[in-house]
Amino acid sequence: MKNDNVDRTVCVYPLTSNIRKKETVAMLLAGGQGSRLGALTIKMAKPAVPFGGKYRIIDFALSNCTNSDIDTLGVLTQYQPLELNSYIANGQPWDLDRITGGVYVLPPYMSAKAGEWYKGTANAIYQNISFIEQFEPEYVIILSGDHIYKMDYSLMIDFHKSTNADATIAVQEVPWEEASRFGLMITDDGNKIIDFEEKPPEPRSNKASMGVYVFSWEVLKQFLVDDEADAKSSNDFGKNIIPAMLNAGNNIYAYTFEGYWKDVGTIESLWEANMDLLNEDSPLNLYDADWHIYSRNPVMPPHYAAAGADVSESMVTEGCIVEGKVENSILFAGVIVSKDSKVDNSVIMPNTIIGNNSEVNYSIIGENVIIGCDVVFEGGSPSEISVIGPGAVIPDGSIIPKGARLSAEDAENI
Amino acid sequence: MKDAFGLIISGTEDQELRDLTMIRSLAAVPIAGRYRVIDFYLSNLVNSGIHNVGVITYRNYHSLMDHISGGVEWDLSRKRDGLFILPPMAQHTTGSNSYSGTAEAINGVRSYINRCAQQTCILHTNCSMIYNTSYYDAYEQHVSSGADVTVMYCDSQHDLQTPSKTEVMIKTDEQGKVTDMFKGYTYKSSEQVSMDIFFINKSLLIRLVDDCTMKGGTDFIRDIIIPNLETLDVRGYHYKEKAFKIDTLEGFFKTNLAFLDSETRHQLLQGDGPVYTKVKDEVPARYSKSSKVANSLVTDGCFVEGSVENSLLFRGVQVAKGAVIKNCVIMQECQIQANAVLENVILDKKCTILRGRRLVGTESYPMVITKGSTI
Repeated sequence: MKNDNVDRTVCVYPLTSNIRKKETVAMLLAGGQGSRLGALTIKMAKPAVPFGGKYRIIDFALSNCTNSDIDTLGVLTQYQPLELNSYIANGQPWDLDRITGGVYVLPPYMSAKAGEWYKGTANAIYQNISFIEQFEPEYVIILSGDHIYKMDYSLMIDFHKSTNADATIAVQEVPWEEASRFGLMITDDGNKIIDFEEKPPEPRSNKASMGVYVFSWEVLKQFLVDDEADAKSSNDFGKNIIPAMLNAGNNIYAYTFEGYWKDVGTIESLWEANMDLLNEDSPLNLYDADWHIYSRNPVMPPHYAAAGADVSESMVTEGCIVEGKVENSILFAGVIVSKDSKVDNSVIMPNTIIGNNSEVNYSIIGENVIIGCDVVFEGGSPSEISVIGPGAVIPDGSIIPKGARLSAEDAENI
Repeated sequence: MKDAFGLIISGTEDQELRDLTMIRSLAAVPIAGRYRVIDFYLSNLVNSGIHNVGVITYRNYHSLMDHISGGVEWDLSRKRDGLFILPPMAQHTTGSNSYSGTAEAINGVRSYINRCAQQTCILHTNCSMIYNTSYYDAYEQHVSSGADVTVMYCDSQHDLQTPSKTEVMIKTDEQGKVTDMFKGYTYKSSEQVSMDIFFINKSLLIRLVDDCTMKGGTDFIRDIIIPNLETLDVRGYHYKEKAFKIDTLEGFFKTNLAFLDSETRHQLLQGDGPVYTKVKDEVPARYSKSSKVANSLVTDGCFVEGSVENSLLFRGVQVAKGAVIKNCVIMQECQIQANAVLENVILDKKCTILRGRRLVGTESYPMVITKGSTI
């Protein structure tokens, strides 16, 4: 029987508050294989590929987040996630180990009804709606883990707020002759996007999408749900979500970003982006004290240049031992260049050993490769970069033709 | 080694590295390109499976605190045990702001010692030696011999590099029992030199420190170990790898240059385990077209355009075109401008050497430039 004298008010001064709420949550797409990187991505996803002496490609997006004061971030992994998982771990190197928020690695998962892979970029976000919802964000920023750039996302979010947009797409003005390689945004004078073309033969705009999107979360959520219900959709942001939003008359704006930005999707562009760092007035300033690029550092001694070493126009990092000649190259941690060897115009990834009297040029050499003695790489060029996959062992006296692409398995048959 | 904890006294009065220790304790002095002296001590302990380490700070410990802070880099940031920074004056009321001797330092942190769950204290009474070891063997010997105290020593002729003029030496009998301990000159061949590392049960340690304090003693070796050699079972443990003494300027300088030798570098930095240190996110070192480098250690963040020979460049050093650096130890963020010449010089952090300047010291008496100077 109901007793009306009992006070049924639940505690009015609880000791918890909604401290999980975040204005912006970032979602970083890191599941791509990067198949055009060939042997380099057999065992790791593209964002985990080493870059610039001590970084990995994903460090740029992670550091941009932390430098832009975005402290809540989901990293969507799918293809060969081991390397990425152990690299990101608790996010401490990027200051992303937070009491609320921080970095979360989000692989596809099983649920009570079904389980499936991420079918596309939009589906990957759709499957993690509940992850995003727990932070009750106003905005979600979608990033891609395979670009090299320094960008203050907070400025883009400010722009998004000031235009009252439903979505904002970061664009970069590319040279007109290259424009047809990109997804292009056609805008009116106020930067409002009126049309969108994917790799058109005759470009009407040179504003290329950088794959960085800011969405107002409530709007995006609805489009994701609708898109998922459409069986014909390929669940992709560029192909489905953006066109659907345009059709529905939503406000989409282009945010022009003017700094250095490079998609390192191919061997040549990866090599080029590395070489850009050696340029005395490199367009990508890594020394910027206000915009550090953080990475998980191995603890290794300073590098040692022996008495006969000759190092010029190069970047060399900790743990390296240089006895030979290194010119216009990047050596990652723990690389050994033995005496009488010569490395030029190359990128040598961590813990690779180059034996005596070998000549390496115009190459990207993966991690933990052993190049024997008297190995000669036939003179390559910027358009004919040789690649040796991680873990390969190149026997003494081998001759590597220019532009060769060898995985560890291929190397066994030399 | 679950039953042992480490205690490190990070500085004492008698350590003289001129300007280098004016602003910091010996434990915080930069060494070998990217390390601080204490990194070797912490790493040795951690590589021996010890997860409880107390560091007794000395005067001016800001730079030490800055370096070790929470102990994350040494895996000592833990819920159970971990790293404890122990400012001695926080716990006793003599009015002075530091301790005058090692026994007094230990007395000041007795509540930490009492609270340790582990029973055996691995006591480092100073930070004046660089070596890379795990303590497994020494601990094993300490336990199996049933000794009250085990002191680590090394041979002055074979293993001790860069000795000071006087050292604390020990004499042992055939059973390895220490019969005498005294301060003496090291010019004689093959002496047993104390490494100032003691294995001792914590309750015995507290009792001895109590006795000593009551009699007005202040020094662990002079007032505790030496007077008790008759009554205590004190044994020696012979450490047979290279150890480098760094409490003189010459010793410090030569120890740094010794890292240029591949074998020594491997022994000291890989040896029984890696040496951990605080990580800074520096860009890899860069060389320009005009750079020349030979027999040198160069750390991330450096930019080399000039010539560097037989030298160590710490983080973020810039060597401009035409500058020549020979037999030098150049600490963090120094700037060497064009055509400056440096030979046998130790530059403390953040020094600027203006264009064309010429600084020359000698091997046995290197020139030391104070932190932040512009010359």
